[in-house]
Amino acid sequence: MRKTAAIALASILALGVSACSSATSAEESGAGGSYTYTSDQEGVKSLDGVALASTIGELKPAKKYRVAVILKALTNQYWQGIQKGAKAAADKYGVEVTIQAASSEKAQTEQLTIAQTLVGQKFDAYVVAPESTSNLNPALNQMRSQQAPVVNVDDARVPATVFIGPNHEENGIQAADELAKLFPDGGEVAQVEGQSGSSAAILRIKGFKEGVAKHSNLKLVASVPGNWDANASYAAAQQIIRQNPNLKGIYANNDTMAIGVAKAVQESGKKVAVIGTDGVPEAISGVRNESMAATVSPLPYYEGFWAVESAIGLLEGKEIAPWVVAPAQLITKENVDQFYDTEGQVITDLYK
Amino acid sequence: MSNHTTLERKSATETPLSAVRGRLDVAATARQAGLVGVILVLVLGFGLARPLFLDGGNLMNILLQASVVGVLALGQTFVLITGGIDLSIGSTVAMCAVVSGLLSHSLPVPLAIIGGIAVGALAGLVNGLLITMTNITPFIVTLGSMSIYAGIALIIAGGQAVYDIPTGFQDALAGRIAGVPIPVLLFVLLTIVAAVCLKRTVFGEHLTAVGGNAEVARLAGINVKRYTAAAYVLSGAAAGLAGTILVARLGAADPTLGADLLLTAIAATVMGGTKLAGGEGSMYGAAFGAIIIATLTAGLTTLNVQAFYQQVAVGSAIIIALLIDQVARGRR
Repeated sequence: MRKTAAIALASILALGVSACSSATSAEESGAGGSYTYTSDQEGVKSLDGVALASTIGELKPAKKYRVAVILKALTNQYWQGIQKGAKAAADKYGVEVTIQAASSEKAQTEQLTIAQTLVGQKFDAYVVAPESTSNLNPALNQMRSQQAPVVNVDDARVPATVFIGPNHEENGIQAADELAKLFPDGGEVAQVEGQSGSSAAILRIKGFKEGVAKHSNLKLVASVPGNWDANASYAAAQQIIRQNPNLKGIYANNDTMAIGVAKAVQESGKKVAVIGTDGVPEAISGVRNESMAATVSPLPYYEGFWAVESAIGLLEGKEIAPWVVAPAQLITKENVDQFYDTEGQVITDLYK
Repeated sequence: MSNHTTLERKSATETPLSAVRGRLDVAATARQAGLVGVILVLVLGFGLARPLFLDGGNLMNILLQASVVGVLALGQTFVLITGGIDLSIGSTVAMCAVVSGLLSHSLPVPLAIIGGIAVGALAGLVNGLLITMTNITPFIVTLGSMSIYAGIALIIAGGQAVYDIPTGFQDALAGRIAGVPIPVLLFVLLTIVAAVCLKRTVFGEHLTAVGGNAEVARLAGINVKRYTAAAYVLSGAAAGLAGTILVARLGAADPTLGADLLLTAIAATVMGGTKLAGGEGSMYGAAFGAIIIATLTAGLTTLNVQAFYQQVAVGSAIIIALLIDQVARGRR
């Protein structure tokens, strides 16, 4: 038995070894490009996403480029929005796009497997939304050695050519500003935090705390974990509302959690303003039916669109600032129709 | 069935027992040949659909992806053989990753790596002691420690990934020797060591006996508690090694790492023929199981099948593997 197994293992191994050496040399002889991979550094030049198209100028791809898009889980409408935008841009410019995502936002090693498999197929450019700041590192190194442009879209920032994403701190600040506007006489506010360790959560928490501190009339009475989870946030909000009878508003670090918070507020019968972040369809209808006061959206559809647009632009030799800033668009009942159709889908020709 | 034979071996005469063992070996060999066949069919099938799949770099990449899950599956096999289960391995991976990452900032690389593995072994020892000294089932104990270790990882890392891993650390566990990634070499080496340990040593024999029937094992003079605890120590140490390998590969230690590894590792283990009820298990089977899952994931990605469908495929593969196994046994 041992013998059979050992022989099998050895043969698989040998197959790999012999084949591998040839792969390395093929990799090194790849066409030379001159892309930088420094988009995650402090203080890089930034460009407003809305101005991207005019900065790049006309794009007529010389060939049918192949672009691989590796996203976080498509279980969140936010990432589905990015997926839609990426497809739309690919259709517009006539490039071939392959979109793959992990099965959950916690599947770090699965996403790495997917990424490295795609890298093996040698695409012209890569768009990545890593699960964490480090889980795709080996794949990113391979993309770099292929001299391919890498576009990092949203959330975890990694060394890429261009980063497309919101200023997460700005999301939190916007939420605090809106609460200050809603309650000119001041009041107590609370926060439901995203998954500990997530960079989006860390920055939004920081932004909201700073925003609240800026307005002397607001007082932060609680900041508790909700782990990006609607149920956990529902329970957390029930607690906060019970313990703080004078509570005026709650900011949840994303819409999934804000929806849970809004439910708890509704059941308590109290009037507490709920603000989320992301702009998923359910939150948009929440803003419309006033169960939510607002959501701050980076307009994910455009992030996906701009990501593929940037990848093509880079392949065509255009220069693009290392950080293309996605909007931190405050969506309230007043302006919701300007950005979203009746189905809660973002209007796709806002920035022509 | 195997558990009783293992014990009778002591009292009965040599001939019929070696015959039984021979029969078992034949069954195990048949199963492993089947698993290797599955791997070959998958590789060739995906290769036919996408010739690039057969690229050596891609095949080596599959082995590399399988290596972390594979190491975990080897550890889990020890535990499953005792009739237990270790749900804490994913969190242990994260905890050990963070510990070794932090240690690497102040200690020489070998000590940081050993430190990470030692913390894993310690985490396993805590599991093992809790299970053997109380009446709480392994499922509950490790469910609890899964949450505890995940929390500890976040606490000591301060909620953020640990960076600035020395290049020496990365070279030591993620470099290549003669073109083969070190994680793959470790995976192959440990599979052979674990298999020999399980099938050719007194330790393995007693461990299997404990899982087959703890009461009978106790009457036969085997220290059931010590063997049970040892299995969790091995599982924890394997998780520790997996954690340090990931730190080396990623160049960072993320405290939320490893959440998706637990079920994949258990899937690889059972696919390889290890029984959840204990008393029977195969290290080569676990290794092949890990390779099958990695091949499926890579192949389906190559065919641009989305992750949701991939989960269905991997799940089906587990059930089909066990069905084939049952049919094969029924015939014998």
